[in-house]
Amino acid sequence: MSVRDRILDGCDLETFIVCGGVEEGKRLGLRLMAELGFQDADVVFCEKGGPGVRIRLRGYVYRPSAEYRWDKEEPEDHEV
Amino acid sequence: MKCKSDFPNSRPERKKIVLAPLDPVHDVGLKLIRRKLVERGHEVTLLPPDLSPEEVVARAKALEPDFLMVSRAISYGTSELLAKFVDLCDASGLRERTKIAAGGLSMRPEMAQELGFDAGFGPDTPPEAAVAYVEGREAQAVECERPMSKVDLTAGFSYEFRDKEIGDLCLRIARQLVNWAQDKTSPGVERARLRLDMEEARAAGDEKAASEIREKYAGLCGGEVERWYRTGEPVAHTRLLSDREIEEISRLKEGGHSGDYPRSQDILARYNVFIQYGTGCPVMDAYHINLSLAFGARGVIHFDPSWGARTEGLLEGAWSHQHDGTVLTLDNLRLIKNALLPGTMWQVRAHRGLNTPETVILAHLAGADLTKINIVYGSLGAGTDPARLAVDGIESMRLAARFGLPYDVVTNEELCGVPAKKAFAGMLIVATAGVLLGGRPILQPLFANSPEAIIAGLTEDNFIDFNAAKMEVLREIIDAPIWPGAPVGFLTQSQDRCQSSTMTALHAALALKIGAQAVTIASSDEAYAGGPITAPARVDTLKTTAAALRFFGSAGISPSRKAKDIAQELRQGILDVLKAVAERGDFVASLYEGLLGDKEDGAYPGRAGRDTVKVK
Amino acid sequence: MMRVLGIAGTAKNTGKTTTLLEVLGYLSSLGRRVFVTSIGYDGEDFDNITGLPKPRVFIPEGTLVATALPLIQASSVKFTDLQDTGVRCALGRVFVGRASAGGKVVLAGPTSTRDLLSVMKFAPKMCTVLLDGAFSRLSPMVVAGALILATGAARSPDSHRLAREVEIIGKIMSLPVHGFFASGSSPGGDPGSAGRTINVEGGLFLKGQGKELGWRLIADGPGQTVVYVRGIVNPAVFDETLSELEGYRRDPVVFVISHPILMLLSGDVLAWEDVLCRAEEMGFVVAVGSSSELLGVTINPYRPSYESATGRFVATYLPPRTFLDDIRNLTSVPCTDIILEGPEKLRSWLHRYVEKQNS
Repeated sequence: MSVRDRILDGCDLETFIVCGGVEEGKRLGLRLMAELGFQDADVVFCEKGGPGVRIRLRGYVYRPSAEYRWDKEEPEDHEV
Repeated sequence: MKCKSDFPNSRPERKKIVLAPLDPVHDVGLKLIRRKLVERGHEVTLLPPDLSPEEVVARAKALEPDFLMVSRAISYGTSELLAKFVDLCDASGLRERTKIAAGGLSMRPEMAQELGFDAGFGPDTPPEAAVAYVEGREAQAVECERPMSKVDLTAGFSYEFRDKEIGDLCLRIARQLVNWAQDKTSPGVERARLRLDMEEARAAGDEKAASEIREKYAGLCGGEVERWYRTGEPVAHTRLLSDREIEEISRLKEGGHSGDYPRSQDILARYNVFIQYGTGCPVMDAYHINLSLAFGARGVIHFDPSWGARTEGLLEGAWSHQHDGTVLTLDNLRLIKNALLPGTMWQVRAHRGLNTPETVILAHLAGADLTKINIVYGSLGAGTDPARLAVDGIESMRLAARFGLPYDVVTNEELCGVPAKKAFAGMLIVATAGVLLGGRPILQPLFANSPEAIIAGLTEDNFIDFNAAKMEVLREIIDAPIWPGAPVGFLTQSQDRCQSSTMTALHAALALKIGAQAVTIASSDEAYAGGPITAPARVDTLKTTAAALRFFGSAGISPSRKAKDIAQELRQGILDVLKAVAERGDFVASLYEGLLGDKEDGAYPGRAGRDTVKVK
Repeated sequence: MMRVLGIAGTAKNTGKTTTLLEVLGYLSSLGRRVFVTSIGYDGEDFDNITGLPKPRVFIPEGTLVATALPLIQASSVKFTDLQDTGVRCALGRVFVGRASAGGKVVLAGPTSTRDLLSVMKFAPKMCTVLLDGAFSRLSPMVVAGALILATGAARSPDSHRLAREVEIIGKIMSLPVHGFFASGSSPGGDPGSAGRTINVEGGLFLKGQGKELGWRLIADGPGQTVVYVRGIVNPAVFDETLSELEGYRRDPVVFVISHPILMLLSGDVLAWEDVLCRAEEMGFVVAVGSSSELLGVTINPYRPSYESATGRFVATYLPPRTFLDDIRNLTSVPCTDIILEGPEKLRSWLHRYVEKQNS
């Protein structure tokens, strides 16, 4: 199982994206979440300031009433 | 798990302790420990911070202490230094009679053991733990805990009116309301009685009687709930919980997730901070409750789906709901109760809809500590017919008094635009009726940037004056508990996590610092409507509230002079509204006619349950 | 008879656990009864400081283990014949138990010599006690009859320096044993062949203590003197004594230090190279009261290095063959890298040790 399955509900990613405006920032942010494999993603907060946007993105892993897998299996050991 | 911040009374055996900073910047903790140890009568020597490990050992050896405690921040390089220090202590013979302990950043018991110390104290360890260790009490038993007993938020309040003029009016109107309701009933009132009988029959094992009552009950239900009772077809977006999910909730409590509490949040044990849950899924709720309690919440409030207030009848069984609000059933409540700690205060809200009296029954049967009832908000802001909710509300308050359940009287109609004077007049009337019925209501003013405040510029400069004025005016009127909510900070929070958490924390701290008995806080997702509240968002505001309370400490918050003016004006406004309602001579008619909030204010008498009130 | 074998390191992450696992496995395969404990904490999945994965301690069936009770309770291994040793460590009371089947365990035992001796009372007479070290800690190893030392790139990536360290440690561990401490009688009585005696209680590890001893020796007048030092000896402080005596004292002095490990606990171990030479040149003898035999040294090329860019530790390795050969060529102490060369060399040291004990 992926470590992602151990996330209780959602995974937030907060960053600053260099871009021209809020709409572009949101579009880029959602693309980033898709690239990271979050299918159920949304923009929680996005505000333009200077060279881009401060943005908080959220990928829901489990919405309430989903079939949770938190404790069902061990996450794979990560190798070093 | 014990949090022994209070020491045992008896004087401990006097011990000799040497404290040594092995790190020049790191002896603040040791100085704090020294103070605590000296207070307890121990003999303490604090060595200067610039000694070599060899010198520390030699000095300690000469003093022959019972304990040598050193502090040092740990990193890859410094750990070897500490290991070497342990060897010096050992080989010098110091350890023949002296126990050695280490404290500092990154120090944990495992680390202390690996380095060879007899004990280790991390940055989260209170100085009391070091004291307990010295005094031979179990150092490992000294961990933080959450309070083991609940608080009666209404204790010590007389409910006497300090403001006679307002008090007399409230009593007059409330008596009229109670009298008006006396000969009336409704499907909500009937179902509550049937529910109580049905559950009593079930508890007594009389399935036949229970099933007969259930049949009658179903006849008083409506919409999808009635359909479920008749055909078993689930209400939209709900499904039954699986056995595995039900087990999961009990496992959460037994499975070692309890008891792991961040010490940074211990300050919240001194206050009554409530959070709201109601993700839709009792399993997710249990997790959210569990982690919120770990992060210092003192109480939790059950949120049910909005359709639950508009539909006649409540379901049975353990249900998961795919949208906001966790379905109100006895089974769901009993499952959720499993996630609570012994000292957790639990509120099940009954206030606003067609199932208000039955909700009080369920709250009682499930073992809740508090409920929520307000006729005015429910009829003007939440869509229930005023006459219906007046009948149901009076019955609910009667039941709450019978079961010994205190309840808050909420004033969320302010969010629609109803001015505080009207909302407060309504709250005072309902609370007075509650007291007349033998209950223990709690006043719940909204701490918010309400439409009224924005339009009148009451919050133009700060968010303190308007809220402080509300507290002050209520306290001048009546000796009753106050619990701002619900939650505090409405319409001040944005979608930005930092801004939102800060606003919540400051509103909560303000309420608690100016004498509120409890406060309800939102998550940092308060202003985000795109999806369910997440666990980290819940933690955000518990963290900031703890930080804000730590920041203010016993240093209070001073409103500006404007607060007095607002309070005076508010008192006059409440008086005028009460006079108008008293003059009208009919509380329920006053609701329909807008005396406690009209269309102009954004308040509309609700239509759900219209024409369902019957004369007995 | 009981033998005590210590596995000590010169630093954290030098390969103590890997060596311990090999020794445990080998002794068990010989049918030896093994009693194992740690003077620190060992067997966790991830290192307490670097967060990097660590070998877990696998104990064969029948092994006697002394570890903190919470770890016994958390272990997948079932333990029988549990006994409370009365010793408390930072993680709880130390219990001894017998593993009813092989499995993984975390070791956390007595951390001081005094507590170690108390715990060892629970070891059966005919068994090998294995002491697992921690960090560079050595002081409790004074109870061990034999030692295996683990060193490597985690101590220093400089193979030349490591070789010098190994060599000087080897030299110190093989200093001649002077009979006096070993007999258990108190020095200060009849020194036997020697003339006068001076007792230095509490060691020589603070600046100025060496000078003071020098003055006492000068004041002592001519003739042979035996100096008994109980406690830690720092090379620089010892050197103070030599400096004081330079030009003043030509009569023989025998310095008897209670245990060679006490010479390794304070100051730079490499400083002993010059200090021991100087003592020899001055005609003095440096001996020890009792000693532990150094069987050999295991070399580990592994090195956790801190990456400031990521704020994390990453595992890096020096070229194992070159690293081992560089060290081996510069020291007379037997060395091996058990991952590179396999366990044969280590086993041969153990075999010789067991044979010697049996004879």
